[in-house]
Formats: sequence, structure tokens, C-alpha cells
Amino acid sequence: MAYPYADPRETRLLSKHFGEKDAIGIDGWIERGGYRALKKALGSMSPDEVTGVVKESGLRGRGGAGFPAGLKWSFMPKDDRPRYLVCNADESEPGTFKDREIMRWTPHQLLEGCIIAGYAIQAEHCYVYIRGEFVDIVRILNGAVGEAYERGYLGRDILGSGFDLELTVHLGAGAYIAGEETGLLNSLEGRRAEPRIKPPFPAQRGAFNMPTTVNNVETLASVAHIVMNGADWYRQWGTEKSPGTKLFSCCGHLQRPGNYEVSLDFNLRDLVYELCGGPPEGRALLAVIPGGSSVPIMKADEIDCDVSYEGIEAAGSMLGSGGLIAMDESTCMVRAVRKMVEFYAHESCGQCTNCREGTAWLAKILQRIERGAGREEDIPLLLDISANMAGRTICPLSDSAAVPVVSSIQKFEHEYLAHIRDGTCTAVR
Amino acid sequence: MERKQQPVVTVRIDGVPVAVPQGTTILEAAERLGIVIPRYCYHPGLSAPAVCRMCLVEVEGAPKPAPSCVQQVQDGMVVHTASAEARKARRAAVEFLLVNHPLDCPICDAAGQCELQDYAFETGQLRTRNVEPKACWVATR
Repeated sequence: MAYPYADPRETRLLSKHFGEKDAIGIDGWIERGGYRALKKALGSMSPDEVTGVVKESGLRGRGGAGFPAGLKWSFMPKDDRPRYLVCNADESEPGTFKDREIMRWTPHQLLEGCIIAGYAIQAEHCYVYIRGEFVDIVRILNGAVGEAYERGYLGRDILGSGFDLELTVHLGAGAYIAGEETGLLNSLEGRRAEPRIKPPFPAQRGAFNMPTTVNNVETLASVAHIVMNGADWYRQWGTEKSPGTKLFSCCGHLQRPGNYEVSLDFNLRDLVYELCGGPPEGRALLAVIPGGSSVPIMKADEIDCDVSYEGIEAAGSMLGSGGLIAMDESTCMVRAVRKMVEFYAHESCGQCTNCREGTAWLAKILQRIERGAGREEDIPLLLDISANMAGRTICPLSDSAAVPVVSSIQKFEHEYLAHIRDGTCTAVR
Repeated sequence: MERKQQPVVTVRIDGVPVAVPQGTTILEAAERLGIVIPRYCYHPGLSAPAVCRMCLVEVEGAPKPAPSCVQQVQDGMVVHTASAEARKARRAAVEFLLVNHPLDCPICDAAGQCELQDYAFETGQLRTRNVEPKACWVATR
């Protein structure tokens, strides 16, 4: 059986070997062409050349912000301080489960990317900060790290190149905010995962106050393919501004939920209706959140766009992490947004006033509206609180909590009004 | 160790130019002009966590208000500590702080020597928009 659902219209680059048990071990991975890119990079390329290829490829960070990966690497200062590479595997954006599958099925794909990226920035230690709930994945990843050490892909003098890299898998303890890169670095150092004030950026002062690059799992996994086949090869997919392929974790009211990897110029509507099979039989699609709960909600008729960063942005949302959540007409939007805001209220680290107080306040108001005790003036109040939260805090969690509130009021105000005026819900039961 | 002469930068705060050594924060530079930017979590003897969000000011050309206790001045920077944007940010911070704060000034021992009270008056928030119970939110099903 193919990996839960597969579709010929996918472009399976990272997910090619999903579902193949043999690909998990190092022998199976080498049979499938693994570690050839590493040999190429260490054997025939300088660190700057590796960075150059990744820069040319236009690979953008897959964690959510979409910052060009090669450019990020080139920010690393070239002094004699120790440098670190941190792989952000703390995948906790609601609706996102792509990194988990990369690590579950192809742990060596990630490790190869880590080693190449480590070489490019001349890191001495790579930390893979993995979400603590991924207990089974940690076991797989640790097994893979052991295998890589045994074969000489990690440790001293990798493949006789003179390049040393140690790799540690570090378990998080379950905080969403530890997925924010500077929160992650604090957590890695044994502190509370409270995001740091930027500047200084991690490239200047990151883990243990040393230059650090933080990259998402999917970003690093893409690196080996780019180094092996070149920037032009990678640019055959996607658009000018968003080259390559992207994994979409599709969940919610869909007939075939799961991970789908598509070229970044794929149509979002086709992804939802063709690949995922659309909403269940007899139900109409109500809304789609294309990139994890931190991006604006799209109405069902707004999704005829490219899945590229700029395509989704032009359609009024963001690509984010690629965690696609589909909601059909049985969804109560007020309840869905209330659940999301409760999540942010729970996960707010509490350092900034606006976020700590604002998320909880929003949650209480939404709970009251859902109970049927809402007031008309609650809608402008929700919008005003959201405006006061966005862009006023150290990290973007506060903005993320405001996003579903604002976008749902813009697009589904009638659902709020039904709760407030009539005490009814427009969801089709 | 040889001490290097700190380069001096000139910034304009609320229309008044001031020359300060590079690395000075906006908040410190403003104090040289006698402008006190409201703050709670900042103390000159401690590290600045920049979490109370009271000291946000408007910096021309910046996309969002800047925490003046950590943002360092740059040459040619134009800062507004009392513009509509800055006042709106401050008002929001006070409102958020009051959401879970008892509004019992008439019987409170701190009344009259309370910066929160002063700022609440200053930002004109004698009534709260909050009608929720002052308690920790509890997740519902």
C-alpha cells in the first residue's frame, strides 16, 4: 500500500520514500541514493559554494516565515567563535504534521541535510530540537544518528574531509512557544522557552551566545536534493519567488487527509478538492486555513490560487507551515476560532503584557459569545483587542492569536451575529 | 585595555535633537531631555526584559512601535513618545494590565502613589471595557 494516500499529481521529492519501511535504516537509505549529496558537498565543494547553491535555488524556510535559507546561512559571521546549527523539529503549529513524517520515514534525509548545512556554515555542533511528544520519532531519529556516527557521517573528520560535526537530539517538553526560534534556543540552553528580543539575531548571538542558524526540518531535508542536483533543477518546480516543492499536511473535513507534496505552483483548490477529495459526501466546504492556525482563514470561494508564498498571500492568507485545515459547513466558526484562541491563551509564555492578557481576554469573550451571552459591541471589541495585540510583542504568538479572530470576523461575521442576536448557530448539523 | 571613544549619534525625540553615545537606548536618550517614557519592567540597575510593553514609542520608518528600553538609538532616528501611535500603544498596555487588576482605587492603600493609577488616568481609562470575570480563563469543551 502506498503511503496513506498518494496521487500522481504530487511532486514527491521529500516524500518519495514515505511508507517504505526499508528507507528508515541507513542501508536502505544509501540504496535509495542517500548520502551521495554529502559526499559531493564534502568532496568537491567549499562551504561557500554549498551556501551559494542553496541561495541560487531560492529555497525558502519551510517553518512558516519563508525566509530564504541560503541568505540566512550567509548571515553567519566568519570569526573564530564556535558556530551552531539548530534544526527546529518542534513542530507544534496546529494542523501541521509534515516534519514528523519526514523524520518518521526518512530520518537520514534530515541528517544528511543537517550535515551539509553544518558544513556550509562550518558549525561544530548540530542540535535537533525535537518536540517532546514525538516519542516514537525520537527513537527512530536516535537510531539513525547512531547509524550515521557508525558509518563516519557524523563525528570527527567526516568522510576524510577534515570537517567535524557532532549531532545531538534534544527533546522539548511540549511548549508551543519553544518552536519560535529564540524561544527554542532558550529552551535548548535549559531556560524557559521565552522568546528573545531581536536584534541580536541568532546569527550574531544564538545558542549559548554563539552564532547560530536555526532551520526547519523540511528546509534542511530539501538541502541534500538541491546540493545533489543543482539550483536550476530545483527551480523547475514552483514559481520564481517560491521555487521547489512543499509538503502540505491536510486535515479536517477531507475525504483523504494526509501529507501531500506538491510543486509550489500547484492550485490550492485542486489540492483540497482533487488530492484530498474535498469535504465528506453531501457536505459543502466552508473554509480553509492553508498554513496552520496562525494564518488568516480563507472562505471556500477564495482558494482558487497558487500554493506559492506569494499566491496565497495575494488570495488573502499565508502559506505558513503548510498545515492545511479544511472545515465544512458543519463547523461552527465561533467555536473553531474559540478553540484556536484558547490554544494561544494556553501557550502564551506570559512575558509580554499584550499577549498574556489579550489572549485570555479574547478567549473569555469568545466563550461568552458561544454560550449565547454575546453582545453586539463584542465584535468591535474583539477587533480592537486584536489590533492592540498584533505587532506589539516580542514574538509573533500574539499576532497569531489575533489572526483567526480578525479574519473570521471579516469573513464570517454573520456567524457571530447569529450567536449574538438569535442565540443560534449557522452550522449545518 | 584601551578604551575606545564611543561614537556619538544624534537623534530627534519629540522634535528635540539630542546627541548621545552610540548604544544608548531611546528611553535613556529621552531622559537626557527630561522626557520620561512610562515604563514598568525597566530599571537602570537590571537587565531590560522589555516585556511590560509600556515604553513602546513610535520610530519614524519602523513598521511597528519599538520598545524604547532596549531599542538603541541610531544616527538620524526620529522618535515620537507622545504621538497618536505611541499613545495608542501605551493605552493598550494599560488596558491589558487592568484587565486582571482589581479596580478598587478608593480603598486601595497604594492609591495616590500608584503609577498604574496615574497611567490609567492619563490614558483616560476610568472605565474598563472588560466584562469578563477577573479570573484565569478555563478551557471549555
